[in-house]
Amino acid sequence: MIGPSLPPARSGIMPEQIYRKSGTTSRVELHNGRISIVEIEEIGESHDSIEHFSSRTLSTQSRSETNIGERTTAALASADQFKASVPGSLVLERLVLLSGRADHSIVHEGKANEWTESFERLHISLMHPEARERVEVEVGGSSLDMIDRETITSIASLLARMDREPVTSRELNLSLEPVVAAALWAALTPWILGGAPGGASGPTLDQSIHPELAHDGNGLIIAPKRLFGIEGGARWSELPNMFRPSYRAKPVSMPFHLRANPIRSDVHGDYEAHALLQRFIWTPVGLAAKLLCRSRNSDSVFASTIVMTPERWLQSVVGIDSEMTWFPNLAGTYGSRTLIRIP
Amino acid sequence: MDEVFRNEGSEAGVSSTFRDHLFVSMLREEGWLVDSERSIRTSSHLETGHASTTHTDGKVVVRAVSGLEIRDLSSWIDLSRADLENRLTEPLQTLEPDIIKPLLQSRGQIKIRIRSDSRLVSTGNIARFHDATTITVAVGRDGHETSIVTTPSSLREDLARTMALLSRGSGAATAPASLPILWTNGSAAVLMHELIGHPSEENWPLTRLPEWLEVRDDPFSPGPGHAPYDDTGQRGRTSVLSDGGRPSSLRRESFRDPPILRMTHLTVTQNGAPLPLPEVRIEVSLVDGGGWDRLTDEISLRVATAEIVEGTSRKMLAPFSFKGSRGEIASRIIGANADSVRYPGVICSREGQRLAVGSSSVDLLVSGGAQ
Repeated sequence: MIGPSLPPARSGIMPEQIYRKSGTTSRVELHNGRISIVEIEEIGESHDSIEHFSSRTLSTQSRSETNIGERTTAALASADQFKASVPGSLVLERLVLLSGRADHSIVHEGKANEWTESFERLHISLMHPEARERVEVEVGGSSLDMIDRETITSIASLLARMDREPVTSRELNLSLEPVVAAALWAALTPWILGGAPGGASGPTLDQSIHPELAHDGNGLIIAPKRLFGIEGGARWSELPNMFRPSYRAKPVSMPFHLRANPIRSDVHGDYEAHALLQRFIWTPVGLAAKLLCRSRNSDSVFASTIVMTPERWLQSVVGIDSEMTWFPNLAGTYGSRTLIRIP
Repeated sequence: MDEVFRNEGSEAGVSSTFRDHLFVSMLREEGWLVDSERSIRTSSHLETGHASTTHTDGKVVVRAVSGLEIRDLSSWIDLSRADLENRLTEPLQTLEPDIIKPLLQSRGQIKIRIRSDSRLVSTGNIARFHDATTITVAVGRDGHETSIVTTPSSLREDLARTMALLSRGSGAATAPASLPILWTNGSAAVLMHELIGHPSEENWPLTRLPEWLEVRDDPFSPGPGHAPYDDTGQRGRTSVLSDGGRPSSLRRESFRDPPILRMTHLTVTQNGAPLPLPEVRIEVSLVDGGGWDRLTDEISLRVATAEIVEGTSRKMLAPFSFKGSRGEIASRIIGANADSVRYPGVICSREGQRLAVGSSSVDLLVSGGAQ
């Protein structure tokens, strides 16, 4: 099976747009013991027409935000806390903490739209040298307080005590923790929007909303939309919203704040998948995941590899909790504790 | 400011330790789509920015601001703006028409990305200027794109060489794991990039290599990665990585990034190597990606173009992966030929920063190992 791909950048673009973004970002990077602090003040603009996309930086006239120093101090303190929470048997390979604020404006056919966003992102990569395993996690939100510290510390403590020998897939009653479930929905998105058939069973997937991150890349208010259900799925061309991660990048059609709707059921399996030891990848036989798992009975921690067709992944879902956590996958993805049953 | 040097500057005032500096950059990038009927400029990006970079309490601190409002540098800015425009239009002109037409006949459409980059680093009373233009050409084949990275002066030659390789077509045969591999066309530089280059950037222990093999990082070599002064204003130094040396240049992708130790131009040479050329072998000529994993100390390369050679018979192979631990692969290097060949390009991504690294190598023979 060849993995589905994301849409071409051209799709769905309105002609003759002028987009401007100005903002400040504090970035703290820890890598192999080296610490870098980067404070950026930047204004950029892009012009988008049918045939040509151009972008350029502009000179900052005045500081758009005067408290960048405070933002950096908070980010550095937060990074130090994460670093301190890493168990001694693990190696903190990389930590990148982004904290910023951006003012956006877009002009289309003489009409202007303006909006402002704050954002926080944490990327962390932890290695267990003895077990030769690595976990990479990305969490985020609109403020540092929204970063899910508990998820990180829980994953770190489990990785630190995992057994060396991996366990290959078998009969499993497995609950995916929110960070894993969100990664699954993000991995399935290109397949769904590329023309997946409707499902007789399994979850429904929607574009949904985020209270703080309410606008798309064109400044439109994001509205809920059904992406996948029993009646079939949406297509890339039917998506109403554009994702614009930077003024330097062409905007692309993308579902925002993807979520799987709750399925009332017990969501606690015999085993729990707490993190990805390898990102979801498309293989010739399906979508593969290597998961950091814990047995609820024995409390042992092990690696398990699961490969299934996308249809089987969806059909295996038997329960989805209503409590959701937002992750910065694609244009935002919610994850909830999700129970899957693998025969 | 006492001096503004262009490219080959003076060594005066350069110390071997990190120095606080001001980094100023101007970048122009264009994307072109060329088919048999027309050339379309699909994208363009103009970027200016500056960053003060200091080293305080064990931390590198970068304060970056977009735009150039620095009066002292106005003469340099005027010079660079004109230069940037010229450097973007010249490479496309050199492609007309003898290279482009055969290319389009066989491939239908090509994508060209031209990046022209001017940088100035000021440390106290000395400023150093550096400029570079790199060209990436992506050619589609069977739904798969092969890219080369080159400079305006090497564009014609690199493109012609690559097209000759691609014109052999693609195969469906699987690479037999037991056969020795001859890394040709300079592609052994990519192998050494992962095997020796990245580990040396991170100060990992050296893998034992044959005594006749030398791998060096040379910022003075022409081509992509050429930088007599690095992005902190320090004079570059040629390092012999195969003797345990480390690259000496601190490089950054943009004014938004911290400078980190990176390779510049990796050159692989030999002195007195045997070349026990096997009758049956795989010959690799193009590689489209690779990596070194510090967790497992393994390298992996994606071979894009390779043939199985049996006497005078040659048959194209399907793309394949080449993987293994560093120590194991290094121990299987058994021969090399005499002449070093420039490999058309490596865009190297590390810590989120993508940089062009020049590459040239002798042909290298590695026993067994294709997967």
